[in-house]
Amino acid sequence: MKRALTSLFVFSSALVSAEVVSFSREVAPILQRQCVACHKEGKAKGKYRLDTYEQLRKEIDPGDLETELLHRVTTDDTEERMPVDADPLRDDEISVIRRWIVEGAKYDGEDPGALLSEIIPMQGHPEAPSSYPRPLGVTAMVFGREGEKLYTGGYHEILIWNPEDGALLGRIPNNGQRSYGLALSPEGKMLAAATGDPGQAGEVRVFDNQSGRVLATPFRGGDTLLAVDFSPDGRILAFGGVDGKLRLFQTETWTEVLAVDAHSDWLTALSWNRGGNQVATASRDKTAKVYNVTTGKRVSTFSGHPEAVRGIAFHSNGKEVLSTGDHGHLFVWGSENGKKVADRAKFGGPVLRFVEGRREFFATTPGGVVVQFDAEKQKRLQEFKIASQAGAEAPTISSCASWGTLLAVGTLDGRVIIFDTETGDQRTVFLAKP
Amino acid sequence: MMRFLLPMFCILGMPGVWCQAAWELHPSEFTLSGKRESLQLIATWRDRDRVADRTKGAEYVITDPAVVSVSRDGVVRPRANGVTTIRLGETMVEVTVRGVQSPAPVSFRHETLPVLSRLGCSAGSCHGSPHGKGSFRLSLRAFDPALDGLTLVSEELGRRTNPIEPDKSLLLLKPTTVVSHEGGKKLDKESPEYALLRSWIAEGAALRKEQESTCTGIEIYPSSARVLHFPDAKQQFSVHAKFSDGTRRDVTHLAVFESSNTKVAEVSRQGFVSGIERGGVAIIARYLEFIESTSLTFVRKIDGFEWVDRKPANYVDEHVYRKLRQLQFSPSEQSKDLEFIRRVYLDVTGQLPSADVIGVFVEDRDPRKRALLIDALLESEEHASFWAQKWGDLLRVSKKQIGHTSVFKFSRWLVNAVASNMPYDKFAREILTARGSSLVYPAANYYRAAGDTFDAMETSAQLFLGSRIQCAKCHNHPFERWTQDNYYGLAAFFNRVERKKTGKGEELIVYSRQDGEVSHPASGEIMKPWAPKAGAMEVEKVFDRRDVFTEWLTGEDNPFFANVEANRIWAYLLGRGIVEPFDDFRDTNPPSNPPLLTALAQDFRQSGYDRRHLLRVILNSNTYQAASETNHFNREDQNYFSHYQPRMLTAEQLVDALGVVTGRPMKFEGVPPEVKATELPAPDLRPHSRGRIGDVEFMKVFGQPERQTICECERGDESSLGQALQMYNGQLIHDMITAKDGNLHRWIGEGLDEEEIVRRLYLSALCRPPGDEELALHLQYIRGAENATTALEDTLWIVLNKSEFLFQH
Repeated sequence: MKRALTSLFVFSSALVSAEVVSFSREVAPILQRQCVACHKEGKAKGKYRLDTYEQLRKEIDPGDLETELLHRVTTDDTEERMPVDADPLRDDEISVIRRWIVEGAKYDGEDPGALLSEIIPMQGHPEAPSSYPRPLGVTAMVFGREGEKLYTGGYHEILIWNPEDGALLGRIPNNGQRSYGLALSPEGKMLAAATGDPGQAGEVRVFDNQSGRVLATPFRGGDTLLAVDFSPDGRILAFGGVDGKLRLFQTETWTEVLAVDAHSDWLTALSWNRGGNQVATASRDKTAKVYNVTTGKRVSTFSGHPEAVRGIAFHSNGKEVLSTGDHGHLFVWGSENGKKVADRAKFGGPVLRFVEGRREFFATTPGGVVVQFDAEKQKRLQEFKIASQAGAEAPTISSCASWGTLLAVGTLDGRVIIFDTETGDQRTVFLAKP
Repeated sequence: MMRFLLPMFCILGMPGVWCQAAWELHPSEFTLSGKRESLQLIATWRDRDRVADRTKGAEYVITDPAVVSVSRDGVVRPRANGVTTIRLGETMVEVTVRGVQSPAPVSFRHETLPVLSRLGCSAGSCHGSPHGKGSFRLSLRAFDPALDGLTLVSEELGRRTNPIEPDKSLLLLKPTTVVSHEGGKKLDKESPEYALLRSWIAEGAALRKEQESTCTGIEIYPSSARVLHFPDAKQQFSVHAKFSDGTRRDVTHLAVFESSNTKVAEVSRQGFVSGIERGGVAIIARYLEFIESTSLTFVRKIDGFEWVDRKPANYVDEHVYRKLRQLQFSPSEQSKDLEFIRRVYLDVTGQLPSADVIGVFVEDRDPRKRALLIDALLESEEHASFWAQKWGDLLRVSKKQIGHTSVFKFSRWLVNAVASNMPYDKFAREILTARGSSLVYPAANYYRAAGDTFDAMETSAQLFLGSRIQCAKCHNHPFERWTQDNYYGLAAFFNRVERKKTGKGEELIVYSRQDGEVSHPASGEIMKPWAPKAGAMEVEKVFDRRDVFTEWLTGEDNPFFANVEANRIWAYLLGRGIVEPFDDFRDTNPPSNPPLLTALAQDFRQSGYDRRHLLRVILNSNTYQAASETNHFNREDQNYFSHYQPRMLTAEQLVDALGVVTGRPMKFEGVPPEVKATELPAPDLRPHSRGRIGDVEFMKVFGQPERQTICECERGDESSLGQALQMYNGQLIHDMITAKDGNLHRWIGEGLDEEEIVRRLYLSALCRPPGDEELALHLQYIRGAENATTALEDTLWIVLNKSEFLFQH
């Protein structure tokens, strides 16, 4: 009788699990959510990593149910059980992992060295709310090629505004939760967004600027992307984010040209040189670097920043790089040798965004002030100040864009303010909230 | 008729013979403003002298259920504006509800930040550490709300909050482990803490502080000590906060609760305490920068326990016995004479008693012989140097800290202070207000070791206030009441001390300037001298601020001065402070027997700060003289002094004892040859020599402090492998045992027989003759050995390696 029952059980469970467990669709999401924070590159607690299939495979043998991984998630010993100080894995999650090991611990992705966050299939982005319950910080913006439009990062979308009157011209859906960088290709056909769900996922999305259709998603990762820009000829898209890597992709075929571990902390900003053969990167790790696009080699590093670097740009002479950040300095250094040329403590507070204008640079500083700065003459030209909202503290500027004589500034309290840099006047103010 | 009368007396609250028991409800009235406020009731069942907490599960009756609801845990939540009573038996609470329609938005300072403290996010081991965790840094326990506001709302482009879908905020996803969180699961989605954080984000994560009243203090309930009996070993706490606008809010759901000893009792996030075993514990509640605490004693009926009355020798025993009886521990028997004499010699003089002294003492039939011996020892020179050495440790009397000549001068001064029994207030004054040349006034060396304002203040606070205030230099103290303001206020007393080297030898002139201020590092405000209870003081500039401090310190009602020294003396004698560690007084580290400490401190004060008197009182108590052997009913006791706790000899005691037993006392460099280890003025007098770097120094291995910090903890009291190696086969022990001019070889040369030698070894090392079996075993070994001399050396080695020798018991 007992035997009969057992075989019945086996039979029925076989029915349930007729399909083979998919690593990328079923196992990886569990590991990503429960384990990767502590067992990844650079933070391998217990010298145990499972942030890629390759790493995980070193720890388990196909069919071996005695493996450490299973033991740790199933044991009753709270000293040993993973995840630490959290609810144990659910039974269905454990059974998925167990079945996958029994079935041979196989990989169903392409690159076994890819991060789990990259191979977990995309869920598709939710629709943006038709009207936002509260303002959302404007964390990315870019002007259209003719200055006739202003694109800003919305919630799971990109919003298009008329800079003249703040009217909402359009919405490009199907985007990551928030955008931290926006870039238009030189001829204006493609719109690229560095996006992500903070702490959970990141993506680079490329849209057709006309139709709003998604052209490509060249990269997905475990946390947000922060910076993106096209090369001057539009052939290469460079981007980076929380993982500190600099990545370059061909815009025609969307194949990877380069991926380097540029920084040990967030890559916060990047900039192309005019010749299109070098990219400069800024990071929270207090360094800024220049990479040669063709060779993939690092050309120089400037590590003289006392704090995080947030903004970077090539000098128009092409030989020098300007970098700024939390320290409020503006450093000028040689792009070839990383040697400091000048340290201009111009800004008196942390600089969050640093944008190149026609002949000058704009740096956002505390108290809602944007400083216009001439790099040639090394002099402060003028300041644009954003008024506080009633009863609130001075707004935090979270994005900035320039076109012609227009300067657009986005704030964390959800406003967009447009200035005329010729007259110094404020032209438009609107709440970037559908 | 009587039947009706009974409850009536109870209603009147008369604690009469008829009134068996009654309910107590706290508070008696309360106003809830706004929908999000709540009130934690505390229901106490009082039966004669016993109390039991019945907050959970009590049958609360609401007169108007439309106004409020009450949960099973006794939490009152508003429903509609109005007034109602909540009854329990004949006792009632009146609750007024108002402002339900217009709930105030979540206050970042008064609600959001306290919740993050409560969840542990801003604890020192998590995001409150100086560098934060995972690139997310909060100020330690929210002492810097403005910075935390920026961090939570603006830093990294508002990444941590999501105004569109609040539930998707990183601030909520991480602690609920929806996104993996290295710190583990800290927050439940169904919890009130989650709801509060979510509301704050949904309302726009506002940081407003204008128009907000400030909190002026908190009250904890129960506010006075309670004794709780198993199985009713539980207690709900509540915390109320008072605000500058006159309002009072229940912040039980926002406060952080801690138990001072989680082996005795645990406290839940909600402030519910569960006793685990008998003993005392302090429950600490913290809200914003305010801390309050209440002590609880848990009593468990022990099977077969019966208290046997015994006559206390003095008030020490009265207090100790009261505590032991309450907790159902039986004190050990009195120590035997041989046990006592070894113990009291080691404690008072640092030395072992000689065989002659032991013989006379044992034979003495005088019932007062222990008291007489104590008196004699307290008058001895050895006592003065041994106890001066303890202060030398605390005052950093070392060559490195104060210089070679000064070591001798300062240490001589300390010995004289003990020998002349200098009153402790005078002792403190001489040190703290030292002025003039260090050559003439050696106590001025205090300010050489404490070389700047902050060092002098921190040192003085630790020595005389028993407080480790250092943390408050950079932020409000995480475990104590001390705030950053207090730190700089206290520092202002020491800021004007000047130290000038004259170049004449090591001479240092200490004096006080008439100007110089301490300013607060954050506000830049000039801090007036400030002391606990006394508050900020105006001191005319012609006065030395240190005089004002010392005046306050040695004042009649100073809460620290006498307690700290009484506890220190107690700890030196009993091996453990009533407050332990004995120089760490704080709410979170309560005394194990508060009345005992109070009585000692009071006696000390009334005696004119006579330290010898206090020593005498303690040494003459049955508590001090109890055997170290435990009985069935005190085996588990570590904290209440039911028996003497054996402890290892200190490095200096051990070296002197080895010298006496082997007849080969250790010689020290830099001092006359007859100086004992327990008389050494400093640990670092050995001339520095490159060739000897790496030499094992026997005393260091056994915990001799370097005297580089003022913490008693610098003295190592842990046993180590190094110590075992030294005792088993170290060079020093080997030389002492085999020395031809040592006791053993002298006795062999004098032709003493093995039995006499074994007897002498036992008596000198263990202060007792060998037992018959022990003796037989030794003799069997010695007589069976090929080489009798070697066998005798082995015997000495065995005796020296007995715990009975290495320990004081």
